Amino acid sequence: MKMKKIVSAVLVGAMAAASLSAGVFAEGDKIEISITGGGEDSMELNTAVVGALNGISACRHVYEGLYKIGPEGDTVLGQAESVDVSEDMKTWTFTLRDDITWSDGEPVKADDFIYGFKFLEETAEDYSTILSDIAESYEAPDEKTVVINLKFPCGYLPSVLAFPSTYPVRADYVEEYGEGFATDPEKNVYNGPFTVTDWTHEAEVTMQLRDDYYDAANISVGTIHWILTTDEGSALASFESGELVYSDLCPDEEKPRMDGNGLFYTAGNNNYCVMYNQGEKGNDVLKDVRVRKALALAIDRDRIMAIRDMNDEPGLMLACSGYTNDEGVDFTEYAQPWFDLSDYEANCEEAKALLAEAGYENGEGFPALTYIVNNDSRREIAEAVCNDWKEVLGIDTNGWVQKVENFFATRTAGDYDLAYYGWFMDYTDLSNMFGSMNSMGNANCFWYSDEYQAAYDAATSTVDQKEQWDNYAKCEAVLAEDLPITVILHSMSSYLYDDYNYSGLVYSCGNFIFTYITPNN
Amino acid sequence: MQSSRYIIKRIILAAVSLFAIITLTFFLMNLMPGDPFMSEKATEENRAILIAKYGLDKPVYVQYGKYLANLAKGDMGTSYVLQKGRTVTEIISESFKVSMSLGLRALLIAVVIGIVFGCVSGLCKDKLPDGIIRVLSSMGISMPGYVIAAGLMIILGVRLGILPINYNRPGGWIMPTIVLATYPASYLTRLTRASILEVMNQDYLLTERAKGMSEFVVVFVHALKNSLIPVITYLGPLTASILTGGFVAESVFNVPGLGRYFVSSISSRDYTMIMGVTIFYSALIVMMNLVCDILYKIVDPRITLE
Repeated sequence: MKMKKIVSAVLVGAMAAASLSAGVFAEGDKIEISITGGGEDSMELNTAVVGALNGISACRHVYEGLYKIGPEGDTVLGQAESVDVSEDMKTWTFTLRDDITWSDGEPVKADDFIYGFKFLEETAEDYSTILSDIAESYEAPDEKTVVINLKFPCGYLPSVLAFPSTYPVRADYVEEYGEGFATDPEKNVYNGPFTVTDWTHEAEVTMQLRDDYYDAANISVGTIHWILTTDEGSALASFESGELVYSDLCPDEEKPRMDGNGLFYTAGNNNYCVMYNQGEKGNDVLKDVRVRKALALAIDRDRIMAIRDMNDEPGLMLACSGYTNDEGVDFTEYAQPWFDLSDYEANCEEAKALLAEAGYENGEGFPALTYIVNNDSRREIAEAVCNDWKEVLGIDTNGWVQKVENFFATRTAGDYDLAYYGWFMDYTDLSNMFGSMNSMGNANCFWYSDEYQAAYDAATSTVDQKEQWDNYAKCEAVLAEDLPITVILHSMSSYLYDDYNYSGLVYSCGNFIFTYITPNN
Repeated sequence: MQSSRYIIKRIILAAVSLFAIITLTFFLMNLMPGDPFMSEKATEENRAILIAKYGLDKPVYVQYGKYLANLAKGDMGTSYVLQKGRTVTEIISESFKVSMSLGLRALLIAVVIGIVFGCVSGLCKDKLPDGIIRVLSSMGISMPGYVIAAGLMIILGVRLGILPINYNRPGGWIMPTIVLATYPASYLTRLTRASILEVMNQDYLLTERAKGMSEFVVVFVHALKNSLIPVITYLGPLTASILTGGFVAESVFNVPGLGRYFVSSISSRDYTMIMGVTIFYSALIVMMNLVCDILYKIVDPRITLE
């Protein structure tokens, strides 16, 4: 009897503890949510060095730039009240809002932006040139004005300025605390809707809505518990138990079960490609466009997607679907695909003919190549591709695929024949995708086209959508003609979200914004 | 006198071992392909700047010399990748506190369960309690940690909803503690059982009984004390490993401990973190082994330390 009482007491205690740990509470008229995102167990809240998706997304909550991502996922003015663009579109003058402050009560000044831009350039991290690639200079003529002079008219500047790397930084905190200033909430201040109130490294960051944020009255989320984890299984279990409202971690094998039970698929804004080395170190056989075309046509994309079973889109073009113009036409329809995916058998026949024309009928005499990848999932796709080349074209592809530990260094050095290539967009502007193959991009296939560059420059220096799209379509046409890469698929992103109880999640290019979440009553 | 000379000798040997470990780890680490600054979006120019910034462009022996000089001053450097900008000492001390707090609970549970169940099992040899304990301890030894973690998570966390999955929630320490304690508790049970069975057949216990001592005193004072020597041997490395956390328990339950750094620092090539956790763990192992040797002497005064 006594034992039963003890067991009951323990269970009641545990249940009380569990209820306290649940993901949601009401706190006045604000809600408290627990989430996990980005699949990292560490977090970076230094806008100048942040590179991982969880840190980039977290920065969007605690800092704010001249622009920000709005509730509809679009780019809207943030800390800036207005912007004046010169006629040649090369000078952008921003006037800051009057009601913007840092979390220590100090007003956000134009100098904080200028310091942030300079601080970014000095870091040499992944995004250190995101602004300097396009900006000639920047200045703060007074406390409320930021002027950016561009190297060329650049229609996508708002997307760049909405990206955390270009957010303001407080010089006094950097000078006092050095490199570690952004690793501890005690050593930093924030100008976004939320402030970091607690940070257990490797476990959780707690963010609290700032009462003095200019739009605080319109935000329902009072507290965000940002759980830092890499474990897909525990993220799923936490979501199912109600501890988490959102998670972009879900084991692949559980996705069919969760589909319709909180799992959502959304455009991944990326591509997965095979890259052909066109540089000196690449095998000469791949410098024959007929060979590249034959290889591209022989890939059975439907089979690869069936193997992956992850709702991928077949890849024909560099850009993925989901970008529509004012008439509602998707870019993938606007720019004509260079071949018809639906008739795989005809494509295989054409591929065989092209290979024979290049002197390798039935794959005879085709040299052995090195196809490098950087992880097991990409290795699986590469092996499926090689299998198609073997079956359709008769090429002996045994032993081609190699998983290389120092993949990026190897690819950059050009020590490969074929390589995995993929681009995950940083913001939803087509310029970001097409920029990956221009002279400033880092595709590492040692291919350069004046025609492509001219079309890209023309597209990014206009705000006229038709002109922009016509030029991006030209970029696609040049890529289809030269084929330095072959796009295989566009993968989808997926996340778990409690849409039964909440609305307002913004998901854009792998970034997740919880600021606009509201309870469904 | 002999004992203190032995301890000094062991401390010197420990320092030599640590030096060898540091040297070996440093050079092996530098043989790994790649560097900490490889990423899909990094340009070659930026990578080169970062490599130069951290002195990784210098010859390995120069880097090694600089590392040793800094280490002598207690400076293990800052993390390159996992927690950019934070010092390794700060990261290790913060995460070790968490692992230690969890590990001590798990250790206590493992030792109490292991010794009590081991004694019961040994004293009830071939009877029902022995059978049950042997089956349970075999299961505890053979089941991998991630299976236990997943089972607990699904049953207690998701289905019954009585315990939180994340460590930071109230009661969040319970499941990772169980996962950490299961294997050592099971192993200690079997070890104590075997040891008790061996000791119980010794002649000196027959003498104790002949002297009219109660069975309780015979078993728990004389037999248990002598059967603890193999247990103590195991407790040394066990304490070191359990105090530094476990990769599975920490990853699954989101524990901000030291355990996960053993794997993540290597996979991310965070050089300073690799060195930091290796030095820390090695020092702990060496220290725990020394403590165990001293404990032998306390448990069995016949043992001489030389």
